[in-house]
Amino acid sequence: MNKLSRRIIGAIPVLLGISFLIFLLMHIAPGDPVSLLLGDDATPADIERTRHEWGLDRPLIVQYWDFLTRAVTGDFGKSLKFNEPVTKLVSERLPATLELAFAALCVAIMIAVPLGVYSAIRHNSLLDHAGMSVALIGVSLPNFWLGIMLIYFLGGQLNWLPVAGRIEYGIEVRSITGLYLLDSVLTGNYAAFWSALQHLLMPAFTLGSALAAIVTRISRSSVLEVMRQDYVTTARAKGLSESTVIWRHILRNALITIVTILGLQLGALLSGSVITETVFSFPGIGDLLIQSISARDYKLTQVLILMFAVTYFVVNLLVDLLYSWIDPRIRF
Amino acid sequence: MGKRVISRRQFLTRTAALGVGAATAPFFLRNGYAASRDRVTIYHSSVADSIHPYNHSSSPIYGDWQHVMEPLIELDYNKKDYVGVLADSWQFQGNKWLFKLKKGIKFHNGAQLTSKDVAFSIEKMRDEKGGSLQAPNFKDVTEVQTPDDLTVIFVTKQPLAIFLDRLENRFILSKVAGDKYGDKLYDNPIGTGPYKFVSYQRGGNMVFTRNDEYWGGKAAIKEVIFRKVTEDAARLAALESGQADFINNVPDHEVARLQKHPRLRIDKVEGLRMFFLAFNMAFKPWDNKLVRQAANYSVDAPAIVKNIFDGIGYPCNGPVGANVIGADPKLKRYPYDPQKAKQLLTQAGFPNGCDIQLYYSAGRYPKDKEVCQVVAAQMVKGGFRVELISQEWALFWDKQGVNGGKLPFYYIGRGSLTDADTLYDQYFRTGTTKRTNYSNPELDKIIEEQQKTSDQKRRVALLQQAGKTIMEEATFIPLYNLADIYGVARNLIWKMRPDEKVLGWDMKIK
Repeated sequence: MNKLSRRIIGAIPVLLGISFLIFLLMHIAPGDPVSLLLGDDATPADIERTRHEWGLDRPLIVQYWDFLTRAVTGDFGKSLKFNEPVTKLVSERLPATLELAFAALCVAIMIAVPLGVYSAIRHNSLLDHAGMSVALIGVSLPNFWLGIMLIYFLGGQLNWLPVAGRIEYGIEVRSITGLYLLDSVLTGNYAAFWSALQHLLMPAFTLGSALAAIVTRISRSSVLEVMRQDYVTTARAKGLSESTVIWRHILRNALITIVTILGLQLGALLSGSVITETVFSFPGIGDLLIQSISARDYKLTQVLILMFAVTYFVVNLLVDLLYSWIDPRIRF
Repeated sequence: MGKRVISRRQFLTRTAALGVGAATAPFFLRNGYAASRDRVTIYHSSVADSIHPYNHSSSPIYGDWQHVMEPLIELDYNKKDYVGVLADSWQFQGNKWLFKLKKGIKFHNGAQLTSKDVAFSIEKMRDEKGGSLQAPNFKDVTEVQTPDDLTVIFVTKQPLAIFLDRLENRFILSKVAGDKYGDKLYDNPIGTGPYKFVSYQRGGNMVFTRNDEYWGGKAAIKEVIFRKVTEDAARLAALESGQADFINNVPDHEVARLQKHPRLRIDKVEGLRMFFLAFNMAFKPWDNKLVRQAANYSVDAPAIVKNIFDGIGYPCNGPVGANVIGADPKLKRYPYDPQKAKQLLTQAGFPNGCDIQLYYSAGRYPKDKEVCQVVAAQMVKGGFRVELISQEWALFWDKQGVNGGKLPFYYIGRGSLTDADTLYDQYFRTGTTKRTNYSNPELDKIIEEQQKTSDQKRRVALLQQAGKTIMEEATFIPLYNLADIYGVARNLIWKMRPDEKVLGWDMKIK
């Protein structure tokens, strides 16, 4: 059995454990979905009746077993708040979050890697200091604050970009992958592409900025470290051109640290999306998670958190696989 | 480093970049201040979370669905009485309510409105397993009869004058559509309303288009778009840039700035959410009437409205706001008089003052923390020593909190309060809830009698009588209603309502 399948099988007990933990925590946490949903008018008798109707008065272990046995068949039940199958809600919204996370990652890479590498190569220059100061600011800015500032200036004052949502009303995208940018290119629908891009810019920048700050610093120190290695001196001594030294010898070796950090930060990106999506009313799973937790929507919260766990697992796995591609000495 | 000289190649690439930038810029600069004559875009903090029209019990969301579907009756806030929408007339006969429907009303699918549609819709509203959250409104209804096409009879367990209040937001769907679509009924909501349903995107847009054959006359605005935007700053930015024509919940501190805006207007209306401080009389010292009166004398609601809400609020004179059915214009609130409060406390056996805890749920209501801090400071002058305790809403509202009768003294709001009965029945009638544990057989009798009375004038008189008892008994500390503050494009005219509903057919563009 190879390493890959061993790791996948190893993940099963972990996920089971997580699902039980979330289930327990959600039910131990005070607050009852029924009284929250029924609101002001409900009497205690109404609340009890509805709890019974929805099966929430059964023993916890029975409810958990019920969840598990259904989950195995792919049936995660219905959301209490939205009254729709959980899988439908999640699958509708997941692509939005993936698109946002991917765009944020692109923003981070496009800003951070060149800036970090350049700062390292020209270290102690003015640009290096400026870049590192910006990175420090970037990492210190709270996500929601940056988001609100962008909304205020680019949306409210300048009216350059839409402040909320994922696409303009009236523009339809035929769904293939659920990622609007990709789908609109595939179907040749450029109006949709443009609208989706406009809606994505501010959230992606907000989400990507903190990541960019971290990656800038990591790239810089990683490149600096590699630059001092003997093989770089050797390469220079061989008379290779500076660009060859940088691209083939320094960058390639510095990349492994950068990829690790990017992989680890993808998880942070997902949790960051919870705040960013709320600020921009971006209909992804982060926004959904906030709503489901405050309504104590047990089933939905359960599945969403499980999904976060699965994503972490998959990302870590991908990072490991990427290692061996970047550095063939690493083998599984 | 040598002289900085720009190479030919650099020059060319930079010029090209500039050119591309300049060419694309106009695409970024969208039309400002849209307010097209045909379309109104509303950014609202609360839009339907589900396409199931009965899967909520919230006033703004009733407003969304009311574009498509209509109720039998609704409250006219000016007349303070109910008026017919789909119902032509109604009668209260003991434990029966008889409704005659208007003739000739058609659904969007062309079908005639009949009593069968009403019975069908109510069955759907009572279907909790199917996801309805409106079933409690029919808990006292034992049977819905449809003797002919235009007559609906609700049989109730006991005479129930307040039933009209419960029917207010119960919207009627087409049974023909129900038979046709089956499980997919809610994906195709078909009502009789002034707008037809176009689309719904979860967490995104809800779109309606005008029903040109509407029985009550065509609306002015052709298309109404709701978008759910929970972030205050985003709604404001959308309004200022013209991405939205209408927003709700403008924060108080932005009002002055927006009022100066050349393209915008601020509209304020007294809201139906009433804020108050509730005592739980199962706890000491609140079982003592003198202490409750002392507490009333030591809280200065007008000062709170003035200083915390910039004067944008309406202190209650009496147990309910002035716009509520059953309000008594002759009643006065307890004046702010800390000396009197101290006297009463001494009389009640607390010459050295008394320790109390005030619970609230920070972040639930506007500036709740500030309000409670000020209340605490005011009460100290009246001889109370107040400990403030904030709890997360789910805990505060739950069985361990308000609804379990576990909090001795708390700050809370009651939304959609149109009829004093709702408040009195829920908070002060023996045994309805555990929220205050107040019990007064005399008051129970008045409330009960009022609930059986069909004559609205007599019912209001009874409610006023109950209000008087409540003030005299000081069963709680009524505070204020806040204003609902809307930001509106200046060329948009609409009929303001106190119930948080935003209705497209009440709008037009100048």
